Formats: sequence, structure tokens, C-alpha cells
Amino acid sequence: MIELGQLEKRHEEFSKRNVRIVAISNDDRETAGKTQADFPNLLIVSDAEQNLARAVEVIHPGAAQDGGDTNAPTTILLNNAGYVRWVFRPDSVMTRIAPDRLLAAIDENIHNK
Amino acid sequence: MEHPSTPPRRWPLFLLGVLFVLSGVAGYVVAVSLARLDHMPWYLPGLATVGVLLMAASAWQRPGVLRFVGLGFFVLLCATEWLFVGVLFKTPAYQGPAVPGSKLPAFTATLADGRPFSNADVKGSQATLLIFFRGRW
Repeated sequence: MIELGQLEKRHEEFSKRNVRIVAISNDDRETAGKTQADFPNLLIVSDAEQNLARAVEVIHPGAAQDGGDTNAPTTILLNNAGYVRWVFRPDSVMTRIAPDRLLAAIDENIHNK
Repeated sequence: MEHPSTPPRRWPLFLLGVLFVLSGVAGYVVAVSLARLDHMPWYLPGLATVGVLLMAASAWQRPGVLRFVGLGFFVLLCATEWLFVGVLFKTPAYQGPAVPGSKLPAFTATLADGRPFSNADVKGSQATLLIFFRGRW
């Protein structure tokens, strides 16, 4: 959630680069609605059935607070044709990618700067 | 006339050790509050280890029940920090199908407002940054 707060604060820098931010967790719709209200400039996805997480293989078994499966923190950058351009996963759940690094990855992989 | 001998002044090693351990915890709290979490907080168990060594030196110099109990507590705390930072909080390397140059596999999910969201929705006028996170705890 810290990461989402940072992205919300700097959403205009992503908009300027013509990039939308979609945040996905396996929260149910009600919980995802609360997250959406907290971060109105991000697009929040409720992936309660983990269809998306399974398709992209980002499930971290047993890592949820209750011992269940949850998403391993993972960031995937897609261009507007839907092709993957960059993938990042931190080596620990204690770390988060900084917005500056994301913006640099967008400039490098989408805008070829 | 002889002066009564005074014991040599010693560094308060145990207290210093406690301060080292607490400074690591305080550093992490500050990092979280400033949202500066882009690096692994190795300083957390690292400072705890230095602190425990100082406490062990103190207990060696001036043995006492309280010192040994305190040392035992901080050794456990230090070991727990190493366990969490070095093992339990590690994430597996990504080995899924989303590799640069590929398209995402087909999927369906739901936006928070109830609208559907699928692989067809990642194409359009904008690039998309998918952020998978651990959910609202």
C-alpha cells in the first residue's frame, strides 16, 4: 500500500507519459472499492479468484498474512499494443520500487529515451 | 596517604548494544514513514548483530543474571531479524510468461467498480503499468 500511495501522489507524471497504473490484488470487490477510494487516480483490480495472478504466474504460495497465497510484488510494463516491455520483481517483500525508477523504466522501454 | 582505589571506568557496552539494536528498528520505522523502501534493510539485522556483540562483551566483563537474560532476549531478536530479512521475506525470482516481447496470457478479472478487466483491455491508446501487490491488510 505504501507503493500505491507513492504512485497516487505522482500520478500526473505517469499520465504525462501516457501510462495508466493498474494495481491488482486478490482482495474482494468491497475491499478493492476501499482501495480505489483511497487511490482515485489508479485503477484497482479485484482479482479475488486469482485468475490474473495465475495467468501471469505471480502467486507467492503461503505468503499471505493468514498463510494463504497472495501476489508476489511484481511490476509489468506493457506498451499500448499490449506487449510486455519490462518486468520487475523486488527480491524481498520488504522493498518497494521507487516511482523514479518506474518513470525511468517507462522512459527507457516505452519512449526509448 | 593512600587514596582508596577506584575501579577503572568502563564503557557502558550493554547500553550501547541496546542502542545499536534499537537504532536499526528506528531506522526501519523512519524508512517506512518516509516510504523509502527501495533497498533491502540489511542494516536492521546488521546493527542488531553489532549490538548483540557489544552486549556479549559486557556480559563477559561483568557477568550477571540480568545481563545474560537481556543478552538472550536480544540474541533471539537479532536471529529473528536475520530470519525475516534474509529468508522469510525473500520473494522467489519471477519465472512466469510475462517476458519482454510477449503478450500476456488470456485472463479475466474485475475492476473495483464491477466492470470486467481482461487481457483485451491492456491494448489501447495508453501504455499500462500492472502493479501486483499483496492486498489491503
